[in-house]
Amino acid sequence: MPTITPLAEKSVISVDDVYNVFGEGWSVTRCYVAMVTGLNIGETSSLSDSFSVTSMAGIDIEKKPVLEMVQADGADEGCVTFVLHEEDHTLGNSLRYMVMKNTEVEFCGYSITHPSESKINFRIQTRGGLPATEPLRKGLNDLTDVCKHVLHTFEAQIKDFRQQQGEAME
Amino acid sequence: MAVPMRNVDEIRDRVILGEFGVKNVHSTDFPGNYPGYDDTWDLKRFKKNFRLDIVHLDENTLEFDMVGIDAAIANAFRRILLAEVPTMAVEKVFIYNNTSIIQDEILAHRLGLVPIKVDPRLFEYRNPGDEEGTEIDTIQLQLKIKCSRNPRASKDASDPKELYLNHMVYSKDMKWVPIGNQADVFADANIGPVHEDILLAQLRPGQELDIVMHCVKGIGKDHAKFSPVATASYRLLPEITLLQTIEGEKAERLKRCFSPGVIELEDVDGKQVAKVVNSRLDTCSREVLRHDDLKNLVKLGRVRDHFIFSVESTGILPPDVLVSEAINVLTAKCQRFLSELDSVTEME
Repeated sequence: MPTITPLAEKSVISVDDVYNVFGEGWSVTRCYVAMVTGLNIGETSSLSDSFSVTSMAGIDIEKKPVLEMVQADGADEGCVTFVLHEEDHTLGNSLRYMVMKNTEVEFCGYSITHPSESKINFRIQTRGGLPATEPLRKGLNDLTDVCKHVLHTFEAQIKDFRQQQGEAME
Repeated sequence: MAVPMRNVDEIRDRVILGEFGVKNVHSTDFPGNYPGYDDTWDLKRFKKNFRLDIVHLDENTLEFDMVGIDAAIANAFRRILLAEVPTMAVEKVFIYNNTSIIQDEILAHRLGLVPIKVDPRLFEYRNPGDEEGTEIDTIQLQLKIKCSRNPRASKDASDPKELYLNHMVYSKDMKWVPIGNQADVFADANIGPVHEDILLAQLRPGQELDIVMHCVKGIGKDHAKFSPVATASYRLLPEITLLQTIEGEKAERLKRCFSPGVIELEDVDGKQVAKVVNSRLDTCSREVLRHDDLKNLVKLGRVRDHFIFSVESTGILPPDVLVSEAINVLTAKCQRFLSELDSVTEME
């Protein structure tokens, strides 16, 4: 498997670079090209069409990526590794459970790349060429439904419990 | 004596505590794993099977049963309670004077760990790089205290309590200094440390502390001082099945293998017969498996989807609010990725 090499010390990344970063045989559906490092304000103004993000104070801030999709070269869109940034077992394992409940999914698993990196690789492989984004979306929606129901039940039970306690006091 | 469960049902629904290890640890209820079982996701079925009972609730502790949910999701709630529900804690300590024997950095660390009673939901996160802070993201506290001799102490006194004034610095000496409109907005909030009797430092006459602190909003993932719970944990409901009638001396010994109240002896035709009364109280010590004549007469297990949660708040927010907030955090995580997924697919 081609390894992902760290970004060179470039201030602005072009789309071509994205291919270079991930090496041959990989394509990136979305890459956050705003990972500008060490760029001062003067340089920003000369790069009007660059992807850098400028905060209100005029100082460059790094726009952190949230979700990336990584696919092997030649693979269909049913086999995708999603990179979920700033996430761990909390979302990883619960989402994996929900996605694995889907009959369209052939494989689903996640791994934490390294303890010092706060991101997870979330892999989905589907049956019959269904885009992997669909089970991911369904998984997220199902998990939201579970949370809503648990919250609703919890708050109702707490209210009942308080009421009963109030009655017992009287 | 209970009828033994069907083999497949036991693998699916129970964790078995054996003599040399724990069996059937993992969830296996996925489609395609078991012929004759429909394991696809069905919200209606989930709602039908899901149950939540409050067992105990007081100011700072909460115990409740969550039944009919997978460990992956129950564990997510537990992890969020520990590390991702925000609170306010001392983050910046400005030491103008510290002549006490406790070093600046140690004192700053101690101050950071003091729970501060402020509702974090009313505040914003401070922007990275912002050193000043504003009324929407910062609570300012002041600790200004000087130790002196007690002029009224009797001549032969040797107790520091009588000899000195202000020689013990407690958390109650951390006084809130409102910024901007905070004095009006939080007039009734009674902002300050949750506990007033946390000893921060000891002084001797002439020593003084002059400190200003900034409390900011943060989460336990960043630093444990932001964790809103003293502890949040769950355990699975223990299940003890007696496979045969156990009576007499064996029954007495069986009773002593478990926590008090789990097994009781019943009088049946003049014989003492063991009966499982309340398996919930068991600690699952597996002591019974050390007795060769008893170990094959009982089956020890735990119910896979019955979670007994226990949440202990640090006193900043009530425990039931913490659980609600934790569930909201997981919902927010899902929503964040759903909207991100939409923008990714739109770009193509």
